[in-house]
Amino acid sequence: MGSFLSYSVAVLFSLALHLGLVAVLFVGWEPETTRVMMQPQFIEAKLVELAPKKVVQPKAKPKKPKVDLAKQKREAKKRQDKQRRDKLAAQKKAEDKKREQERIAALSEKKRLEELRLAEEQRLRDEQEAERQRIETEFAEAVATEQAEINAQEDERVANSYRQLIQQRLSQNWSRPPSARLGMETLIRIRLVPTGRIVGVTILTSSGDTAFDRSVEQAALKVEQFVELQGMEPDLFERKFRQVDVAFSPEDLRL
Amino acid sequence: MTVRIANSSIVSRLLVTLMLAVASPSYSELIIRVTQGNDQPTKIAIAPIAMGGVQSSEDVSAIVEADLARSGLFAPMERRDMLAFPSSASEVYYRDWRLLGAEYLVAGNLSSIAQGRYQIEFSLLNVSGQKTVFTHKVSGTISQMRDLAHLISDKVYEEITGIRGAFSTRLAYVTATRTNDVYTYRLNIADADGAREKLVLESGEPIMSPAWSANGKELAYVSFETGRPAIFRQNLVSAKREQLTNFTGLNGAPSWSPDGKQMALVLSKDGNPELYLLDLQSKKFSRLTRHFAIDTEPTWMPDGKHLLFTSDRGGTPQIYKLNIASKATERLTFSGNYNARPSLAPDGRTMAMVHRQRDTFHIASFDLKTGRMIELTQTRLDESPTVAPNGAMLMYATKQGDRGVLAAVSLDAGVRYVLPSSSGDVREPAWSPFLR
Repeated sequence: MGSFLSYSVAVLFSLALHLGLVAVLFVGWEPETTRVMMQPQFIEAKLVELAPKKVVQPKAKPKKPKVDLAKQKREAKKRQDKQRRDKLAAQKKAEDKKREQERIAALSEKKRLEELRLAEEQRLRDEQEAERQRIETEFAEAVATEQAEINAQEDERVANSYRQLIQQRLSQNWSRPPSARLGMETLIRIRLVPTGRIVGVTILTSSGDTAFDRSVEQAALKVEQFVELQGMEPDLFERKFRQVDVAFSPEDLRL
Repeated sequence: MTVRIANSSIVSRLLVTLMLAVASPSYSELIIRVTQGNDQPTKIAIAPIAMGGVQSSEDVSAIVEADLARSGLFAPMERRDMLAFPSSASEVYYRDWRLLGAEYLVAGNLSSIAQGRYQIEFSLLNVSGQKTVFTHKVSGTISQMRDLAHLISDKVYEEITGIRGAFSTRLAYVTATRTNDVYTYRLNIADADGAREKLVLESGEPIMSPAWSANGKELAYVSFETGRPAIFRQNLVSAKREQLTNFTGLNGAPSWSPDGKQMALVLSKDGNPELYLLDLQSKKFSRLTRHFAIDTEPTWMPDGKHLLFTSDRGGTPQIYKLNIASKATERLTFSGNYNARPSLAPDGRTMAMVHRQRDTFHIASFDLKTGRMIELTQTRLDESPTVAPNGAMLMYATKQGDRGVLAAVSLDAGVRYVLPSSSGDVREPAWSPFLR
């Protein structure tokens, strides 16, 4: 059963394929012909220019009457021909007009498209310009930021050298009591004036040991003045050294 | 060259700490971290106490100066360098003292408050901070000027160091003098600075192992006056004595419990020295150790539940810890082949002991928590360490020439001094507890 089913599927498929091929052989040509038909129309359009002149010239000739049958016949034929020609000409004229209209329409369409294209191009140019400007501004901004960062780093480097000095000076003047133990920490705020003189010491966080806290306070009071701070940029002093927080926590004790 | 290396390491360390400070999230601002110190004795000026015309044989300020200097934590200013002798805070020109380099100043004055009673009002002034730290009053009779001086020392010391002062405590010790081949033994007590020596007991037979009661009012000791060693207790005020043991063999090494109700001691009545517990109320003995080796020199831990003692049960004398309730023992020392005579600091963690190194006996400190040992003395034949009640110093017996003297060393080995002694060989010091 299964094999029959699979066969029948294959048979149906090949049958459909052949039928399709046959159909293509008969039907498939049609669009080709229509397309071929289109092409000559364009060539005919060129001939149209000459046709009306040919039609105008014969108009004058029929004024000479000829009364023999043959002639009448010929004339009748001619008339018929002329009528046919006129009809054809009219037809052609209408067609021409239609074609002209179509041409104009095509032209206007073309123009419209051209305009659209131009507009699109303009838009793209505008966009590119905007993008260029944006990149330029961004670049300028980045340069400015980088410069600011470099300045800040330089600032921080200078500030750190002063912090180091403060740290060393405090360390030299810090004499710990025997009650000091590893892990104790006292945080103080030192208020300074631009001469580097200490004008205030406040304990922000106590270690819990009074003697330890006092030793920290005492270290700052003993320093009295960081003379070197006099050489600092006033701006840097205002921003970073008007008040300085210092944490004292011993790491060099035995206990 | 070395200086440069040192500098660069400091700089890099600084940078690291600064970076760490930046990374620290708990503070919004950049914080400078100071992790190293420059520990120096505190420069202090003790202005002479204005005596207001009162005559005393004692120079109170000089005693305070000597007390603070002996601790090693202070560097008192010479009196002749002082520009003024202020007697109270209002008379102090901070600027002068600052120029002289003093960090602190003590100024005080004596006044009569009643017949025979005097008061000293004294202030501790912070010269750097230009402020008064405290003002206190102490009072006593004219004969108590030394006591008042030690009280001032205690107050100043405690305020600046954060450790309770032990200048008002006492020492007990034994002296032996020989005249015409006859020995005289004396049990004495004196101020912690060795002054005001006072005789407790004199005997032609050896006196050993003085031990203070927890309240500092009694001493226990071993006396051979009955012909064999016996433990006595004696009240220091009333001089009332009581014999506590009278067993054959060894009766020794008494140690008073922190609550004062019991005494740990050593008896060899059952063959070899073992630790016993004596209930001072019921006079009942209970045996604590049972071992064929020697167990001796018990000392109480501050919790009152454990004893430290010396035993040679491991082949050499070492220090063990005994749980009184469970009788479980634990060996504490393993470094060296002789560790004995334990004495605990009040923190219950730092122990002083006699440690033998290259055939000489030194005093060493031993951290019960970390097992770390530090040799504190470099002299020979150092013995009988006893830790001060504030745990800052310890006293021990040593030899100066061929004479026994008492010496002291701080538990960080930074300070040492020898106590002047009156006469004879001085041995077996015992530092009293706080007396008030």
